Amino acid sequence: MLSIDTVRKINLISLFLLLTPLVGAFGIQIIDSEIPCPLCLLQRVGMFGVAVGILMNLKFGIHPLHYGISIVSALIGAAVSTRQVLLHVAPKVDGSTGFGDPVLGLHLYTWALVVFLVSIFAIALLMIFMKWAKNLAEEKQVLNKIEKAVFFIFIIVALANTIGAFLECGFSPCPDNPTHYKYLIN
Amino acid sequence: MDVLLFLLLTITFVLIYIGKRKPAIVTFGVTMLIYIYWFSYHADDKLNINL
Repeated sequence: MLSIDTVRKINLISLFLLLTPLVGAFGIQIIDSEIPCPLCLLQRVGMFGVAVGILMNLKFGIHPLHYGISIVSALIGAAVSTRQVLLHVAPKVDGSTGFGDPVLGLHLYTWALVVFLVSIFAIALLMIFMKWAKNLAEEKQVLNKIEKAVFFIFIIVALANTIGAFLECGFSPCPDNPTHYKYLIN
Repeated sequence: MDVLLFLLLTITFVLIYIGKRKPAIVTFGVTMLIYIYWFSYHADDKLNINL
């Protein structure tokens, strides 16, 4: 059985793993000027949602409610990415295999589906193998420097995505195949 | 709507950091409701393969 301290450390590692596709996708958006599609933005929202539950575990202690939050986000995110995978499951006439460039052989929406499914599986394993306390008190935990840093990174990345989404489409729905930013002079 | 989703998530992260558990859960719940609505809006786009 895993102790609370061990689970806390696994939670922290999983947050860094979640940051990888989020920062990577935002990096591709900035460096390669690959503007995200509407479903790509929704997949990012799903990943942030998974992080919400895990961050709550760090701040308020390990609790099934927090895991539930992550699972709900992962399920909706998986539905979004499955929708996009199915949209591109048949090859196009022009020979392209999907939306955007593949990373390590898979498109970003396929990676997103992998992330969501692995998240659900990992949370299930943690809930099975964790040594649960009899009384689950929600007490504020003292965050160490690394945990504080993770919080700040998530706040900054979420804020950067807010600004990016506003520049891309303002408050209206984003175009299906975006080619330029609405509020940015290219 | 995407802007609103990211903004609400940013607020949720800040609320968690400052230790406001219930407001964070409420903000997250609102975010998820908008998220589901916004996904169904896009999912109802028939077979638009450019998404």
